[in-house]
Amino acid sequence: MSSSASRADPREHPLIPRETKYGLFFVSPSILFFLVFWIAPVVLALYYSLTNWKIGPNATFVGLRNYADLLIDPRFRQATLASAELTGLAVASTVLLALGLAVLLNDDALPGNRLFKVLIILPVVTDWVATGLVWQLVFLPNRGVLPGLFSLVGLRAWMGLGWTSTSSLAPMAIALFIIWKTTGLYAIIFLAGLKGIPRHFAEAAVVDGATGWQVFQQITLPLLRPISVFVVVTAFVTTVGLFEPVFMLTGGGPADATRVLPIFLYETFFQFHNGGYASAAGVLFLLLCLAFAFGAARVMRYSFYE
Amino acid sequence: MRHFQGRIVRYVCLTLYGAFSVMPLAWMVSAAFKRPQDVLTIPIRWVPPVWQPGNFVQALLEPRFSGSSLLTFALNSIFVAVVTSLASIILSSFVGYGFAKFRFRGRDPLLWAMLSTTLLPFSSVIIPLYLIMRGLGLLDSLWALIVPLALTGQTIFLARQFIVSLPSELMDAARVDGAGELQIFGRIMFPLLGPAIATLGILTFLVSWNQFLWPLVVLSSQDHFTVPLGLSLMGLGSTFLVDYHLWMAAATLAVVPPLVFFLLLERPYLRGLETLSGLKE
Repeated sequence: MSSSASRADPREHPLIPRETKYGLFFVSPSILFFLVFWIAPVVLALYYSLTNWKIGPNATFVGLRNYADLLIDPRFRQATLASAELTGLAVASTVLLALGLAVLLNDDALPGNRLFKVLIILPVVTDWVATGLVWQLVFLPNRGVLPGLFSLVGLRAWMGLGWTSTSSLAPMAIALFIIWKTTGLYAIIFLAGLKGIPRHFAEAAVVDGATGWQVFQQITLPLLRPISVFVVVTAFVTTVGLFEPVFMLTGGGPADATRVLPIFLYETFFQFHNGGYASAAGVLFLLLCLAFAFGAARVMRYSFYE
Repeated sequence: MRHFQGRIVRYVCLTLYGAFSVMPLAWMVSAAFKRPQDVLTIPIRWVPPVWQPGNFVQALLEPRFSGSSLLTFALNSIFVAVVTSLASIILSSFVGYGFAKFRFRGRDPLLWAMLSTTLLPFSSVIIPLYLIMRGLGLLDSLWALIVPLALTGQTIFLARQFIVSLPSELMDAARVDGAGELQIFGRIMFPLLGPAIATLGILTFLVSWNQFLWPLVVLSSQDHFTVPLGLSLMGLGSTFLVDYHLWMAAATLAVVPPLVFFLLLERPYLRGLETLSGLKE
């Protein structure tokens, strides 16, 4: 594996090539971090998921019982459904909005272009808790910002809606908060992708009589495929793992409507001290994310050619 | 003419989204200056009728909780975010250099393993991670917030992408001159990273400043709390139910450091996002 330059080096070790020695030396911190913060946690979670461990020192092996219990636990099923609903709603809206914004921003001659970019990314760099306090007041029935805006446009009947206290509205309220907070990030990434597409492709198509929509659908979108895979997978993994927006707006309620998987895991362990059970749920959650990430990458890679 | 119309549509859409993006933040800043009775009014008052800048002093210094003030939380947050960013800059470029400039068996699978960690949500491993921190004796310590973020799949990848484009000839020349490998990294390659250091710094600073779930899990004593954790003690259902103006003053103070940092380092930040998405080598 070593290059010819290093083979001539008099300091060359007879058995370990110089490049291997120093390469491993420089990457060694990452190996340590990977073992301590990813491999060890997964191994520990797998181990505890097979036990009835609570929080004390005792853990008895119970085989796959935790997994069997999880599959018939209505709370776990509800958490999975709530996660699917919230993630589906938020990711689909975020990705489509981000793509739209990127297309709009993809015009360097547009005056104020840079200002719009900064405005759109502001929520991304702020934190979930501080802005969560703001969004609590945005949604406050009758007195908040949203009711204020409704009264301004004559929707007085909507002013009393309990956005965070009604089962059907709470997922939408949280999704709106997530959309507000994360869309800018993906818009900037899509924009970078759009800028990477050579302009003459679209120009040639227009000369051949293609409309703007045809150019977008048949040239831009297929060329954006790799970046779209990246955005969808990143948005999914980020959103499905979100704890903060739910914690800040509803805390999982009303009546479990927004008790998503991260909240379920947190409560099962840190409030109910059910370590083995929570570990099993964590393992299933991890598998779900991996399955989605690989599935999305596969589907999106092929669907454009079929 | 058609081009002109298209531009109008573009402006209308961008202005609408821009307004949506800024409105909650603008409302927050405005409320932070208000008297309590002016915060939640219909119609909304965007400009405070009476300005009360003293809200910020009160929010920052008044011991709201069991003896701790927002200032204590802010000092903790600054310490954690600064130390994490510095550690991340040094560790990530060290490791990134190894991945970028040396060829050895297993290098690429190892890099993929690091990258694959970015596909897993942090919240799915908090329970075992909590146990590991307990084993390391770091529970309720600010170091528990620093160590796990000092090196991540993202920052390794970023540093590697930046270093790959640096000329290897410099390394060879230094070797001929008898420089050691650590010297080559520290004296020659690291200074060449320049703006990439700012990128690594701002990305890590923002992640560190904004983390909430992890501090919530590992910290227990209030004088170790960070800003988001302290802020979460406010909020609906807390005992400070009517102090909305103070909540908003505290929230404004909490978003100032990341916003200032972002506005100063906007270009390296955006470049970092583009590199992470794999668009730039």
